[in-house]
Amino acid sequence: MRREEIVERTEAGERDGAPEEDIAIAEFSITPERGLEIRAEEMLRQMEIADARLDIEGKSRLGESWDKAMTWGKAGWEWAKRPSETYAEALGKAALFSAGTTVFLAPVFLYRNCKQVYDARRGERGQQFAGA
Amino acid sequence: MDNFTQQGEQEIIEALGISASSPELQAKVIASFGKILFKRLLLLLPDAVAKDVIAEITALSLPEGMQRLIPLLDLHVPDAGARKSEVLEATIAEFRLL
Repeated sequence: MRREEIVERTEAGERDGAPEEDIAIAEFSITPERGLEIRAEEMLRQMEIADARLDIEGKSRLGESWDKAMTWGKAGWEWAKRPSETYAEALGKAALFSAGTTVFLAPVFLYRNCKQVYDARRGERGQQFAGA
Repeated sequence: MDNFTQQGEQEIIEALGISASSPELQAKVIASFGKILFKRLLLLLPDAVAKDVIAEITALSLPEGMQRLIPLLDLHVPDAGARKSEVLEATIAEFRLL
C-alpha cells in the first residue's frame, strides 16, 4: 500500500480491512496539516463540552434569565461580525471586545472601525462631488 | 467580514495555535470561543445582579446593551479589569494547542 493511500485511508477513517502494520504506519503518516486539523477538531469538541457545562451552571444559578441572555448573546456575536455603519456602533463593538479580549485591544478596534466609517463616508462624499 | 472582527479573531486564533488550520474550522472555533467567553464573563456577576443585568440588556438594542454591560461588570465585579483578563487568559490556556 502506498504511503499516500494509507494517509488517505486513515483520514477517511476507513481502517477496516487494512493490515495492522499499515494502520501502525498510517498513524505516523498523517500530514502535519491534517494533524493540526484533527487537534483543532478535538479542541472544538472540548469547547462544546465546556459550553454545555456553562449552560448547566448558568441555568442552575440564573434560571430562565440564562436562556434570555444566551439568545441576546448569540445575536450580539452576529452583530459584532457585521461591518460597522456608524461611529456609535464602532464604539459599541470596541466596548464589547474590551470585555471579550484584553483591554488594550479596544482602542485598536475603535480606531479601525472609525477609520472604516470615515473612509466609507469620504468615498460617498467623493461620489457626490463627482456626480455634481 | 470587517477589519475589526478580523483583528480580534486573529489574535485569538494565534493564541489558540490554530492559525494554520482551515478557515472553516477557525470560524467554528472562534464562534465557540466567543460563546464560552460571554458566558464566563456573565457568570462573574453575582446572581441577583446578573438577573437584573440580563433583564436590562435584553431590553436594549445591541450597541446600547454592550455599552451598558461593560460598566456593570466593572461596577459589580471586584477588580473587574484583572478578572476579565484572567478569564480570557484562562480560557485560551484551557484550549490552546501545545
